[in-house]
Amino acid sequence: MAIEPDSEPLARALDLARRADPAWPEVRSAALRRIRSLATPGEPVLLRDGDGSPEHDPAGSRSYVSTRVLTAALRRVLTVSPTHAPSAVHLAVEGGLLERVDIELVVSYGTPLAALAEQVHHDVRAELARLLGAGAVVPGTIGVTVVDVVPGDATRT
Amino acid sequence: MSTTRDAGPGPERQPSDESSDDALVRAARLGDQDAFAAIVDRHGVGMHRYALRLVGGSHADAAEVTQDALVSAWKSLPSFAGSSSLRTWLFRIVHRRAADLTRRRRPVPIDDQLLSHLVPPASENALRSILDEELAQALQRSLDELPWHQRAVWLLREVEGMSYDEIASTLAMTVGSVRGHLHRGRRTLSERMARWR
Repeated sequence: MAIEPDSEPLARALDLARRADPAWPEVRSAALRRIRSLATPGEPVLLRDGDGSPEHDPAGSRSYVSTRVLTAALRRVLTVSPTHAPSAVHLAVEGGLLERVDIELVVSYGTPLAALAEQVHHDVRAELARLLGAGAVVPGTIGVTVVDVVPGDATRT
Repeated sequence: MSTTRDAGPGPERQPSDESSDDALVRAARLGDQDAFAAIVDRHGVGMHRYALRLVGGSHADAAEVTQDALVSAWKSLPSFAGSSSLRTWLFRIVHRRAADLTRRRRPVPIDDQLLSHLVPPASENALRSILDEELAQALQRSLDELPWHQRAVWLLREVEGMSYDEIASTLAMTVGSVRGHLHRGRRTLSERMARWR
């Protein structure tokens, strides 16, 4: 028993101390504002067209997408089904080119892994092609590893 | 299971009240700020309450400690190994920030107006409200006089309801030390609050 029976004032004070402080909503908002304003580090990845060329015009114009944007996009496309959720996304960039993508997944118990892996490869490749251009992802450069199996909804467990 | 789709993967599943801490951490590590906001909503109230009582009731200091702790947690999520629970990890960050702040600053008198935030205004019973406010101030003064570890252990056990194991993990001490600090803290607070009977 935390409180002695004869410590009624302390018990009452403890009851008051357990209440949420009225200043909390303001503190919460300020903290989330600070977090949103933080610049997450990322590397630039070169966009490439269908034949793999990085240049948009004869003048040699080039465009880049940050790995931060790519990671967020891959997280979103891998968080659409209760069967699986991403645990980590590793992007290897060399000279501005996306050399390799490694995805770690948490999978719901009972999910057929071969079919899931095929689907994840398809979804990742499609998303990278949408963001970086059709020539940005070379076949065989996407690795998928199942790192944990959980009961129920993998996006919530 | 379908392996191809014509219309894309579909909408992202958003974090919910049902999401476990593990699931929220996984998503937040990958930059999902909504998942981190869900973590803040789940654990932030207690972190702020703990900071407030630990730093002597100063709302400005508690806000600084809590915000710094949450920003630090966001930045450190990739290194959170999961060897302790998310809750104890977050409270450990608050504790360290509060200790840093307390070391940096000389003790200053507590502003009783700030402490009045502890007790919401009572419309039905003004006398009770005044008594509650005085009681809350008395508790804060008594807490401030406790040694640092006794104060921390007492708050984590009595206010936040942590187990001895969780407190030991949060404060990096043995369960035996937790019991000792808690016993002494309870005895001292009980004596100091006795005049209110």
